[in-house]
Amino acid sequence: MIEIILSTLILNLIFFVSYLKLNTKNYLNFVNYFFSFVAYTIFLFSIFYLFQDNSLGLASDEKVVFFLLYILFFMSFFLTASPRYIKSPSYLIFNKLNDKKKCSLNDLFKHFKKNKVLKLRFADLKKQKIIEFKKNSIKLKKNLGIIIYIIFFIKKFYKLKSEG
Amino acid sequence: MNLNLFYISNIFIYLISLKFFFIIFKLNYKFPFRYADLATLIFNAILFVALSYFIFGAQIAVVTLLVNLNLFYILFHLINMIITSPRTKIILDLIQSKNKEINIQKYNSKYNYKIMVKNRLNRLKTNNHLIFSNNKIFLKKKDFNFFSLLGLVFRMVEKF
Repeated sequence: MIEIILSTLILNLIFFVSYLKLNTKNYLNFVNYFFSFVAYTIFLFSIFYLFQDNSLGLASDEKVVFFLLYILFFMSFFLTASPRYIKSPSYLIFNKLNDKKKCSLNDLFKHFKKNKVLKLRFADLKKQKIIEFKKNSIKLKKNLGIIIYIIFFIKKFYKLKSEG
Repeated sequence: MNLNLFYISNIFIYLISLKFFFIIFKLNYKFPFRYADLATLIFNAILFVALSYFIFGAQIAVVTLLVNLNLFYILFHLINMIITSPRTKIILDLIQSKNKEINIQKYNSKYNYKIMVKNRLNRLKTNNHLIFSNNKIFLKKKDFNFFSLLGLVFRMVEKF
Protein backbone atom coordinates (compact mmCIF):
# COMPACT_ATOMS: atom_id res chain seq x y z
CA MET A 1 0.00 0.00 0.00
CA ILE A 2 2.85 2.39 0.76
CA GLU A 3 3.95 2.04 -2.90
CA ILE A 4 0.49 3.11 -4.08
CA ILE A 5 0.42 6.13 -1.75
CA LEU A 6 3.91 7.20 -2.79
CA SER A 7 3.26 6.65 -6.50
CA THR A 8 0.09 8.80 -6.48
CA LEU A 9 1.96 11.53 -4.61
CA ILE A 10 5.07 11.40 -6.80
CA LEU A 11 3.11 11.24 -10.10
CA ASN A 12 1.14 14.30 -9.03
CA LEU A 13 4.25 16.10 -7.82
CA ILE A 14 5.99 15.47 -11.16
CA PHE A 15 3.01 16.92 -13.03
CA PHE A 16 2.69 19.89 -10.68
CA VAL A 17 6.36 20.90 -10.86
CA SER A 18 6.59 20.28 -14.64
CA TYR A 19 3.43 22.28 -15.34
CA LEU A 20 4.58 25.24 -13.26
CA LYS A 21 8.03 25.16 -14.88
CA LEU A 22 6.66 24.84 -18.42
CA ASN A 23 3.79 27.31 -18.06
CA THR A 24 5.02 30.38 -19.93
CA LYS A 25 2.00 32.49 -19.01
CA ASN A 26 2.18 34.50 -15.82
CA TYR A 27 -1.17 33.24 -14.59
CA LEU A 28 -2.77 29.91 -13.79
CA ASN A 29 -5.66 28.84 -15.98
CA PHE A 30 -7.68 26.06 -14.36
CA VAL A 31 -9.12 24.72 -17.65
CA ASN A 32 -5.65 24.50 -19.16
CA TYR A 33 -4.24 22.91 -15.99
CA PHE A 34 -7.08 20.38 -15.90
CA PHE A 35 -6.79 19.31 -19.55
CA SER A 36 -2.99 19.08 -19.28
CA PHE A 37 -3.51 16.81 -16.28
CA VAL A 38 -5.97 14.63 -18.24
CA ALA A 39 -3.46 14.36 -21.10
CA TYR A 40 -0.68 13.48 -18.64
CA THR A 41 -2.89 10.83 -17.01
CA ILE A 42 -3.81 9.26 -20.38
CA PHE A 43 -0.13 9.20 -21.31
CA LEU A 44 0.82 7.53 -18.01
CA PHE A 45 -1.92 4.93 -18.24
CA SER A 46 -1.00 4.09 -21.83
CA ILE A 47 2.52 3.35 -20.64
CA PHE A 48 1.23 1.23 -17.73
CA TYR A 49 -1.02 -0.77 -20.07
CA LEU A 50 1.88 -1.46 -22.39
CA PHE A 51 3.84 -3.08 -19.59
CA GLN A 52 1.06 -4.76 -17.57
CA ASP A 53 -1.39 -7.54 -18.44
CA ASN A 54 -4.19 -6.10 -16.31
CA SER A 55 -4.72 -2.45 -15.50
CA LEU A 56 -1.78 -1.25 -13.41
CA GLY A 57 -1.38 -4.76 -11.98
CA LEU A 58 -3.44 -3.74 -8.94
CA ALA A 59 -6.11 -5.58 -6.97
CA SER A 60 -9.62 -4.11 -6.88
CA ASP A 61 -9.23 -2.33 -3.49
CA GLU A 62 -5.83 -1.04 -4.50
CA LYS A 63 -7.36 0.51 -7.64
CA VAL A 64 -9.93 2.37 -5.51
CA VAL A 65 -7.14 3.69 -3.28
CA PHE A 66 -5.00 4.65 -6.27
CA PHE A 67 -7.71 6.60 -8.09
CA LEU A 68 -9.04 8.27 -4.97
CA LEU A 69 -5.63 9.48 -3.81
CA TYR A 70 -4.61 10.40 -7.36
CA ILE A 71 -7.62 12.72 -7.71
CA LEU A 72 -7.37 14.16 -4.19
CA PHE A 73 -3.64 14.91 -4.58
CA PHE A 74 -4.41 16.56 -7.95
CA MET A 75 -6.91 18.90 -6.30
CA SER A 76 -4.61 19.61 -3.35
CA PHE A 77 -1.67 20.47 -5.60
CA PHE A 78 -3.79 22.67 -7.85
CA LEU A 79 -5.01 24.69 -4.86
CA THR A 80 -1.37 25.18 -3.77
CA ALA A 81 -0.23 26.71 -7.07
CA SER A 82 -1.79 30.17 -6.85
CA PRO A 83 0.88 31.94 -4.67
CA ARG A 84 3.44 31.30 -7.40
CA TYR A 85 1.69 33.72 -9.73
CA ILE A 86 0.22 36.34 -7.47
CA LYS A 87 1.35 37.36 -4.00
CA SER A 88 -1.25 36.92 -1.28
CA PRO A 89 -2.19 40.16 0.54
CA SER A 90 -1.48 38.35 3.84
CA TYR A 91 2.04 37.64 2.63
CA LEU A 92 2.48 41.33 1.76
CA ILE A 93 1.40 42.32 5.28
CA PHE A 94 3.80 39.76 6.75
CA ASN A 95 6.67 41.07 4.60
CA LYS A 96 5.96 44.68 5.47
CA LEU A 97 5.80 43.96 9.19
CA ASN A 98 8.92 41.84 9.01
CA ASP A 99 10.88 44.57 7.23
CA LYS A 100 9.66 47.58 9.17
CA LYS A 101 8.95 45.84 12.50
CA LYS A 102 5.99 48.17 13.04
CA CYS A 103 3.82 50.22 10.79
CA SER A 104 0.53 52.08 10.72
CA LEU A 105 -2.64 51.22 8.84
CA ASN A 106 -1.75 53.97 6.38
CA ASP A 107 1.63 52.34 5.69
CA LEU A 108 -0.19 49.12 4.84
CA PHE A 109 -2.67 50.91 2.56
CA LYS A 110 0.27 52.52 0.75
CA HIS A 111 2.09 49.18 0.59
CA PHE A 112 -0.96 47.55 -1.01
CA LYS A 113 -1.28 50.43 -3.46
CA LYS A 114 2.42 50.28 -4.31
CA ASN A 115 2.14 46.54 -4.97
CA LYS A 116 -0.99 47.12 -7.10
CA VAL A 117 -2.87 44.45 -5.17
CA LEU A 118 -6.24 45.19 -6.77
CA LYS A 119 -4.98 46.28 -10.19
CA LEU A 120 -3.01 43.05 -10.58
CA ARG A 121 -6.09 41.01 -9.82
CA PHE A 122 -8.23 42.86 -12.31
CA ALA A 123 -5.44 42.47 -14.87
CA ASP A 124 -5.21 38.74 -14.11
CA LEU A 125 -8.95 38.28 -14.62
CA LYS A 126 -8.69 40.23 -17.88
CA LYS A 127 -5.79 38.07 -19.09
CA GLN A 128 -7.82 34.97 -18.35
CA LYS A 129 -10.60 36.54 -20.44
CA ILE A 130 -13.02 36.39 -17.51
CA ILE A 131 -13.71 40.13 -17.41
CA GLU A 132 -13.47 43.01 -19.85
CA PHE A 133 -13.07 46.72 -19.22
CA LYS A 134 -15.54 49.12 -20.74
CA LYS A 135 -15.50 52.90 -20.54
CA ASN A 136 -16.47 53.27 -16.87
CA SER A 137 -17.26 49.71 -15.97
CA ILE A 138 -16.13 46.11 -15.71
CA LYS A 139 -18.17 43.36 -17.32
CA LEU A 140 -18.13 39.62 -16.81
CA LYS A 141 -17.09 38.24 -20.18
CA LYS A 142 -17.48 34.51 -20.15
CA ASN A 143 -19.80 31.99 -18.69
CA LEU A 144 -17.76 30.25 -16.00
CA GLY A 145 -19.99 27.20 -16.12
CA ILE A 146 -19.69 24.39 -13.62
CA ILE A 147 -16.83 25.97 -11.62
CA ILE A 148 -18.94 28.93 -10.59
CA TYR A 149 -21.90 26.65 -9.74
CA ILE A 150 -19.65 24.66 -7.40
CA ILE A 151 -18.39 27.87 -5.76
CA PHE A 152 -21.96 29.18 -5.40
CA PHE A 153 -23.13 25.86 -3.99
CA ILE A 154 -20.34 25.83 -1.37
CA LYS A 155 -21.00 29.51 -0.54
CA LYS A 156 -24.71 28.93 -0.11
CA PHE A 157 -24.50 25.56 1.62
CA TYR A 158 -22.02 26.76 4.26
CA LYS A 159 -23.53 30.29 4.36
CA LEU A 160 -20.22 32.01 3.59
CA LYS A 161 -19.65 35.70 2.98
CA SER A 162 -17.15 36.72 0.35
CA GLU A 163 -15.09 39.45 2.08
CA GLY A 164 -12.03 39.60 -0.17
CA MET B 1 -18.21 -3.59 3.31
CA ASN B 2 -17.23 -2.34 -0.12
CA LEU B 3 -14.29 0.10 -0.12
CA ASN B 4 -15.94 2.33 -2.74
CA LEU B 5 -19.01 2.76 -0.57
CA PHE B 6 -16.85 3.35 2.51
CA TYR B 7 -15.04 6.30 0.90
CA ILE B 8 -18.22 7.74 -0.63
CA SER B 9 -19.74 7.71 2.90
CA ASN B 10 -16.57 9.28 4.30
CA ILE B 11 -16.68 12.16 1.79
CA PHE B 12 -20.43 12.69 2.26
CA ILE B 13 -20.22 12.68 6.07
CA TYR B 14 -17.19 14.99 5.89
CA LEU B 15 -19.23 17.58 3.94
CA ILE B 16 -22.27 17.26 6.23
CA SER B 17 -20.24 17.39 9.44
CA LEU B 18 -18.45 20.52 8.17
CA LYS B 19 -21.87 22.16 7.84
CA PHE B 20 -22.72 21.05 11.37
CA PHE B 21 -19.46 22.45 12.79
CA PHE B 22 -19.97 25.72 10.87
CA ILE B 23 -23.32 26.07 12.68
CA ILE B 24 -21.57 25.54 16.02
CA PHE B 25 -18.35 27.53 15.52
CA LYS B 26 -19.50 29.94 12.78
CA LEU B 27 -16.53 31.54 11.01
CA ASN B 28 -14.37 31.83 14.13
CA TYR B 29 -10.68 31.56 13.44
CA LYS B 30 -7.50 30.63 15.09
CA PHE B 31 -5.66 31.97 12.06
CA PRO B 32 -5.06 30.39 9.60
CA PHE B 33 -7.53 27.66 10.52
CA ARG B 34 -11.22 27.93 11.26
CA TYR B 35 -12.40 25.98 14.28
CA ALA B 36 -15.07 24.34 12.09
CA ASP B 37 -12.42 22.94 9.71
CA LEU B 38 -10.31 21.59 12.54
CA ALA B 39 -13.27 20.02 14.35
CA THR B 40 -14.46 18.38 11.13
CA LEU B 41 -11.03 16.93 10.45
CA ILE B 42 -10.64 15.56 13.97
CA PHE B 43 -14.17 14.10 14.03
CA ASN B 44 -13.87 12.39 10.64
CA ALA B 45 -10.29 11.24 11.08
CA ILE B 46 -11.10 9.55 14.39
CA LEU B 47 -14.38 8.02 13.15
CA PHE B 48 -13.25 6.78 9.74
CA VAL B 49 -9.69 5.79 10.62
CA ALA B 50 -11.06 3.65 13.47
CA LEU B 51 -13.78 2.15 11.24
CA SER B 52 -11.39 1.38 8.40
CA TYR B 53 -8.92 -0.17 10.85
CA PHE B 54 -11.55 -2.58 12.17
CA ILE B 55 -13.15 -3.34 8.77
CA PHE B 56 -10.19 -3.31 6.35
CA GLY B 57 -7.03 -3.32 8.48
CA ALA B 58 -4.13 -1.03 9.28
CA GLN B 59 -3.02 -0.24 5.71
CA ILE B 60 -6.44 1.09 4.65
CA ALA B 61 -6.59 3.04 7.94
CA VAL B 62 -3.45 4.92 6.84
CA VAL B 63 -5.08 5.64 3.46
CA THR B 64 -8.24 6.86 5.24
CA LEU B 65 -6.16 9.28 7.30
CA LEU B 66 -4.60 10.61 4.09
CA VAL B 67 -8.01 10.93 2.43
CA ASN B 68 -9.32 12.98 5.36
CA LEU B 69 -6.21 15.18 5.43
CA ASN B 70 -6.68 15.83 1.72
CA LEU B 71 -10.37 16.65 2.21
CA PHE B 72 -9.39 19.05 4.98
CA TYR B 73 -6.80 20.74 2.76
CA ILE B 74 -9.09 20.98 -0.29
CA LEU B 75 -12.12 22.31 1.59
CA PHE B 76 -9.98 24.65 3.67
CA HIS B 77 -8.60 26.20 0.47
CA LEU B 78 -11.93 26.28 -1.37
CA ILE B 79 -13.67 28.00 1.53
CA ASN B 80 -10.71 30.34 2.00
CA MET B 81 -10.92 31.16 -1.69
CA ILE B 82 -14.57 32.12 -1.35
CA ILE B 83 -14.09 34.18 1.82
CA THR B 84 -10.69 35.81 1.32
CA SER B 85 -9.75 35.79 -2.37
CA PRO B 86 -10.14 39.22 -3.99
CA ARG B 87 -10.53 37.66 -7.45
CA THR B 88 -13.33 35.36 -6.32
CA LYS B 89 -15.03 38.32 -4.63
CA ILE B 90 -14.82 40.38 -7.83
CA ILE B 91 -16.29 37.50 -9.90
CA LEU B 92 -19.08 36.81 -7.38
CA ASP B 93 -19.92 40.53 -7.17
CA LEU B 94 -20.07 40.71 -10.97
CA ILE B 95 -22.33 37.68 -11.21
CA GLN B 96 -24.70 39.10 -8.62
CA SER B 97 -24.81 42.53 -10.25
CA LYS B 98 -27.31 43.71 -12.84
CA ASN B 99 -26.29 42.71 -16.38
CA LYS B 100 -23.09 41.25 -14.89
CA GLU B 101 -21.55 44.72 -15.09
CA ILE B 102 -20.25 47.06 -12.39
CA ASN B 103 -19.37 50.74 -12.47
CA ILE B 104 -15.66 51.02 -11.54
CA GLN B 105 -16.00 54.13 -9.38
CA LYS B 106 -18.94 52.74 -7.44
CA TYR B 107 -17.11 49.48 -6.94
CA ASN B 108 -13.98 51.27 -5.72
CA SER B 109 -15.99 52.93 -2.98
CA LYS B 110 -17.33 49.51 -1.94
CA TYR B 111 -14.16 47.47 -2.24
CA ASN B 112 -10.73 49.12 -2.01
CA TYR B 113 -7.30 48.83 -0.37
CA LYS B 114 -8.56 50.08 2.98
CA ILE B 115 -11.25 47.44 3.16
CA MET B 116 -8.84 44.75 1.98
CA VAL B 117 -6.24 45.63 4.64
CA LYS B 118 -8.86 45.84 7.39
CA ASN B 119 -10.36 42.47 6.45
CA ARG B 120 -6.92 40.84 6.41
CA LEU B 121 -5.90 42.34 9.73
CA ASN B 122 -9.15 41.22 11.35
CA ARG B 123 -8.37 37.67 10.35
CA LEU B 124 -4.64 37.85 11.07
CA LYS B 125 -5.03 39.22 14.58
CA THR B 126 -6.88 36.08 15.71
CA ASN B 127 -3.60 34.18 16.10
CA ASN B 128 -2.25 36.75 18.59
CA HIS B 129 0.96 37.34 16.69
CA LEU B 130 0.02 40.92 15.82
CA ILE B 131 0.03 43.71 18.38
CA PHE B 132 -2.05 46.85 17.89
CA SER B 133 -0.80 49.79 19.90
CA ASN B 134 -1.05 53.59 19.39
CA ASN B 135 -2.28 53.17 15.82
CA LYS B 136 0.73 50.99 15.05
CA ILE B 137 0.81 47.32 14.20
CA PHE B 138 3.75 45.05 14.86
CA LEU B 139 4.69 41.41 15.06
CA LYS B 140 5.12 39.80 18.44
CA LYS B 141 8.76 38.89 18.96
CA LYS B 142 9.14 35.16 18.74
CA ASP B 143 11.90 33.06 17.24
CA PHE B 144 9.48 31.25 14.99
CA ASN B 145 5.83 32.13 14.69
CA PHE B 146 3.01 31.43 12.29
CA PHE B 147 4.08 34.27 9.99
CA SER B 148 7.53 32.74 9.61
CA LEU B 149 5.86 29.50 8.53
CA LEU B 150 3.57 31.39 6.14
CA GLY B 151 6.58 33.15 4.58
CA LEU B 152 8.41 29.83 4.25
CA VAL B 153 5.45 28.18 2.45
CA PHE B 154 5.00 31.11 0.05
CA ARG B 155 8.72 31.20 -0.76
CA MET B 156 8.73 27.43 -1.43
CA VAL B 157 5.82 27.61 -3.90
CA GLU B 158 7.40 30.64 -5.58
CA LYS B 159 10.62 28.67 -6.13
CA PHE B 160 8.73 25.98 -8.08
